[in-house]
Amino acid sequence: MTGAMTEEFVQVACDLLQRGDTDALVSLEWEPRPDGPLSAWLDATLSLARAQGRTLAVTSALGIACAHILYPALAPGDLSVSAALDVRDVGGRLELIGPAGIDLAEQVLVDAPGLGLGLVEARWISPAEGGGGPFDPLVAARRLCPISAIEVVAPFGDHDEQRVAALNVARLFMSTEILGSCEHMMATAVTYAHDRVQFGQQIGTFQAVQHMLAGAEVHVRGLRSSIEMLVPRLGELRGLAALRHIAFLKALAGRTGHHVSQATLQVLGAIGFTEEHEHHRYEKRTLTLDALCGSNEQLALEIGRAAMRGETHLVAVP
Amino acid sequence: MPESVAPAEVLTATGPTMTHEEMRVEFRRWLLDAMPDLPASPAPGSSFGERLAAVCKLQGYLYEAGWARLGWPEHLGGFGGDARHRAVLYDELASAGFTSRCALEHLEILAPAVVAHWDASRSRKVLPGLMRGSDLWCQGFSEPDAGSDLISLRTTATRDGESYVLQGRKMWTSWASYAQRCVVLARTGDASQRHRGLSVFFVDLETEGIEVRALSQANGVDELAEVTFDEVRIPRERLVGQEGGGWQIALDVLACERSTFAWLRQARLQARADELALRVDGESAEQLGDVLIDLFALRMSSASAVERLADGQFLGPQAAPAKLLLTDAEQHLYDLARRVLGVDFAMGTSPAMADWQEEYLFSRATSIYGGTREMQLTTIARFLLDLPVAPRG
Repeated sequence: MTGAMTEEFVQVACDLLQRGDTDALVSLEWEPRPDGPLSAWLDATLSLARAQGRTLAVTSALGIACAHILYPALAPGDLSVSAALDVRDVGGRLELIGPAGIDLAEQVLVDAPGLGLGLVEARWISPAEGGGGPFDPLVAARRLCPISAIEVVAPFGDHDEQRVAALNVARLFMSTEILGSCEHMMATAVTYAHDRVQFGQQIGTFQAVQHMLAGAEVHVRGLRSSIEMLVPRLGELRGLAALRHIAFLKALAGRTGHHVSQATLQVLGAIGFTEEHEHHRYEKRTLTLDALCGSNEQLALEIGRAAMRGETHLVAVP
Repeated sequence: MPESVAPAEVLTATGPTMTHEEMRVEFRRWLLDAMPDLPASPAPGSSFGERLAAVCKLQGYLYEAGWARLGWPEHLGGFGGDARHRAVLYDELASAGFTSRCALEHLEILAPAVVAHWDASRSRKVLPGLMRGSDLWCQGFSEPDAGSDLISLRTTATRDGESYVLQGRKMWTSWASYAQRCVVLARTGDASQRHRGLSVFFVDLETEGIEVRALSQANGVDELAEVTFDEVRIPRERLVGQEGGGWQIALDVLACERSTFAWLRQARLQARADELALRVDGESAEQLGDVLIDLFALRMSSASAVERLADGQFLGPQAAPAKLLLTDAEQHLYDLARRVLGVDFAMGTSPAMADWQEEYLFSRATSIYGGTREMQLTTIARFLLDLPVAPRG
């Protein structure tokens, strides 16, 4: 059982974020172990991810976790780094899509097409033109930088495993954040179903409402069990086997996020569709997280194509 | 029995202390050696009786070699270990192509609850037969007027000296035509006692006064049956647990049917999905991926249930989500099969296609057996989400 799945631990992380703790990873006793398996420090990182999902907070945890792939001795506070793993080459410049922290970090870890993992100094990064931007600006930002500004620290080929590991960490983090977001949306809708009275009775007594929420809860529990069972068995995040398993998890998380967003909005009714209600913020967060590092549709396509090639990879559980 | 499937030396030496991780490695190694001498999986299009015979024969070999005894306590005739060992056995068998369990599914549905509640000296007499595949069990719960509303059942068990007399009728009893024993839920109190008036009995189906009538199903299989009890005299020692304590046993059985059973089922579904994947065209790749993601969630959730059972916990209402994940995964898989197989699916007459057709039709009932989808949703709403109950009247 990982700490990410221990309710008490997640609650501590939520409290830290709600108090505005700027270095929550340190407070959670994040302990990088240079020679140990990467999973050794996942507890604090994933607890924070889940708490971020519940509280809509933004931290640098994802960037630090990804950077830790390259710098195993990294400790919180050593480096102001963010990570942008969704990167496209747009006419000689790179379009970076990553956590909102890329605005604030001194350096950004990027997965540069055709080059490998690289670092970019913040001064080279400029806002993308055209406005619009990401669905949830609190989660992701879209920026541009010249390719020549990339300092490649892990080129393709020999260091592909580090790219895979960074992607694995990011997908795990985002899946767990979506779980936290879904848990919050469920809790809000269940409370509303108790409080809201229509036709002279609490709407939570109507079977149609009960079944809608129960159906969403099935998906939330499926995602929670999947994280609980998968994370302790990953052992090492660098391998392709882990990439395949985590792709399943990320796809499941994205699907779950959409399902829970819709079901809980339906229970909240019109009030849930107002700007002042928090629901749309959680929905936009799950939409954004699903879109980053492989949407559930993209990953389902990859998974399906791999199966058509006869590639089957079951996790050895229990 | 061929020499290669004789008692596994590694079990003779270390059986009771083998971890489930060690077991996975050792059993895989043993399977590789023994495979040529193991009974083959039934050919496509085999009758249900042929499939059951093949599964029971394989189980007998596994019992004699010791593997089927792992995961059960030594004092009940097992080799020690827990539900994780059994889960590994099923997982590795499925990987080797043995994906069907037929009536032996009751090793994971009925047996854990029966041995948890019954006197060990009694359990020890009946469990080895099921472990060996020579003595099959069935579950006598549902009745014509008590399906989802199980508490309304009418079959009675009246105390008469050192015996109970069973009177009533059970319906939709899986495997009863093929089983030798039936775990019967009957009313020992009056109807006003509701769930507190129910008890469980372990009944020999050849007992005088019992009639079993197979029910032919929509998918062409006669798995289900009607079992009639007409003044059937049952020794008192066949009362499982306490008189009036049957509801808790029933809940534990149902929890297994809705959760750990899903572990067995996912192995079969995964194998079928892998077969289907080789026939899918590019346009359906994403749908195939979605089905595989369903199966991933099912595998993880049911593995979690196995771990809970291994720690001595029956899931209770928490089993309901696992059953619904199974329902979705199974129905989505066979929906995809119907689309991919096209006209062959509807009109094909080959043995392989007959299997797909039969399994598709069975998958439609996944949202009914073991408690309907609607019952599971209501259970989740009431007991896991704590939603309010509608005022009566």
